[in-house]
Formats: sequence, structure tokens, C-alpha cells
Amino acid sequence: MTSKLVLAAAAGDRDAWERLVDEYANLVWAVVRSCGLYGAEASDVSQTVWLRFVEHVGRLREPERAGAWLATTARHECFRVLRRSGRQLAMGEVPEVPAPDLTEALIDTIVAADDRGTVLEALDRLPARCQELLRLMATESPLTYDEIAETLGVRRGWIGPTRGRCIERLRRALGDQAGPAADRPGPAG
Amino acid sequence: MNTPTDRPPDHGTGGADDELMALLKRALEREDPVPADAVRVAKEAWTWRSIDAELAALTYDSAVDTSELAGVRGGPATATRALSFEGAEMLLDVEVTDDGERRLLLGQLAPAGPPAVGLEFADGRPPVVMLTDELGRFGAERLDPGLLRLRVEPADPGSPGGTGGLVTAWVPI
Repeated sequence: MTSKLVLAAAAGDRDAWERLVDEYANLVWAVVRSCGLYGAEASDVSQTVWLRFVEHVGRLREPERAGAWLATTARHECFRVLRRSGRQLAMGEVPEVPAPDLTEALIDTIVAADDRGTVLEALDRLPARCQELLRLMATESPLTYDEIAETLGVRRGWIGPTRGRCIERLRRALGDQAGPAADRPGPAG
Repeated sequence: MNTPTDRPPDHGTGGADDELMALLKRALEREDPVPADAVRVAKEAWTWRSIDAELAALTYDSAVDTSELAGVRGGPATATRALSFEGAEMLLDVEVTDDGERRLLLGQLAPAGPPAVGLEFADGRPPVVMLTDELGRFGAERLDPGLLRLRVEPADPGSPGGTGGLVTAWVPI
């Protein structure tokens, strides 16, 4: 499907181009936001990525992997922006935290958090590496584990365990936000 | 922990984990989606495709240079930025100097020959034409920051770049 759109756009079909944008704009945005950019900087990087893509749409060696190309390019552009202003990309491992027992109350808290808009607040409190991975995995994006690994510059085997640890940290951050109303055993945090 | 499938799981490695990821996904879609403006701008990128021109890649950018030459060629700490673009048979070297608000751009192409180099701006500003001298040098001053690229029309149809000329990759200045 992506392949067909890429080849059509390369041949001059503007409609195919716009469908590619519709398909992948969320993914590009997720990668840019994963790098910690927001606002005007994020929009600028997004524009740059799509301008590069329009130049390369006729030259992709693997048209079916256009999503991975876009994600990798978005990350490179983030790197440029961060480097030019002396900031850094997230790196490193995410240590494991001991798992709390999940009680009914905590599950209810988590579901209630959806309505109160606190899920993103909790996400913002996680290590940058977790925010990055979870954002990338929470998009409607059709990236495979291999493509995510390539985009983030990690081994594929890193993803599964780190996903688990990061979700655990998100759960605890949500539980912490809920405060004493959440019934959970063990030490807080 | 290991998924037998190739893609991130929608269901199944752990109900609570998947439920939380679904929650996160909904929250992101509701509170941090791609802005409509960014989608529109992405679609408009189509108007910038260069159909016949050769694309000259950015092969050096002092702003991301991590080598020892960084200080010599104008690294992140200095106000001058050095950029190099390479086509199949043409090189462009560009220096951009930042005076605080605006930019001075000086460049040279090799081999010399093409009579002018154009500056195109992604924000829709009118393009600027810079005439070259006999050594292939060109310049423009008082440029506002933004995304730009350079375009070289060939000196004659049989020269490097053919009839389509050459455009560089976009760079933010």
C-alpha cells in the first residue's frame, strides 16, 4: 500500500503524496515529540522532514519502508536542532523498578486518569528514554519492532523489556498522582 | 516478554500493560496530535519537488561537526557556519554569518561557470538571485533566518546537472 503511494507520488501524483502525508504525519510528529521538541521547533522539524521526503520520494531504495525512512529522518533532524543549541538526545538504559501489586483500586485510578487528562502529565515524569519509546509505540504508526529499533538506534531485543519497564514506571507515576486514594501495598514511588 | 510477531502488540503480552498503552494512545491522540497546520504544510511540500534538477546533498555542516576541525571551520561556538553541498560534478561551499538577527551568506561553487545561484525559501519569501563572479563566488546579505536551499542553473545545457540544473538539500539558517 505504502509502496504504491510512493511510486505514484514519484511519478507526479499529488493525491498519492497527500495520502502519504495523511498516513505518516502522526508518526513524524510522534518522533519529533519523542526527542523532546515542541511548539514552533517541532513544527519546523516536521516541515523539514517532509521537504526532504518530497525530494527523496522518487529515490527510495525500499518504497515499502517509507515509514521507517520518515522516522529515521525525523530523528536525524531532531539531532541537528538539539546539537545546534547544545542539547542532547536521550540515551542509556532504563533500570527496572520493583513491581507493585495491581489492585482493583489502582486499575480504577488508571482508567479515571484518562478522563482527568493526567496520563500525559505522568508520561512527562518518566525518564526521557521511556517517553521516547512509549510515544513511538503509542502512535497509530505501522512501524515494526525492527524499524523502531533502527529509529532509536538500539538493538531490537532492547525494546520488549524496556517497554515493560517503562509501562511499569508509567503505572507507578499514575498511582503516585492519584495519591493516598489509590490502595496499593509497598513503598510509594 | 518476547513477542512472536514483528510488530508492537495490540493485545496479549499482558492485559494491564496493553490497557495502559491504549490509554496512553488515546491521551496522545486527544492532547498531543499532529497539528492541522503541520499536516497542511507537509502537503504543501509537494510544490517544492524539483523534477529534473539534481539534488546536491549536504555533506558538511559545521553546526554538527564533532571533529577537532570544528573550531577551525566554524563550529557551534562561533557565529559563522560552514556548509558544503556535493552534486555529481559540482561542489558548493557556503558560509553563513549570524549578526544576531539576520544572516550574511557567502559562497563559492566549483567548477565556476554558471552565471547565477538562486536562493529559495521554504516560508514562501520571494527567491533571491545571486550573480557569480569569475571564480564562482556569490553572496547575499540581510537574510532573515529560515529554511533555504540553493539552486544552480547550468551555464549551458551540456554542462554538469544537464538541463535541470541542481538544487541543494534544505538547510535552516
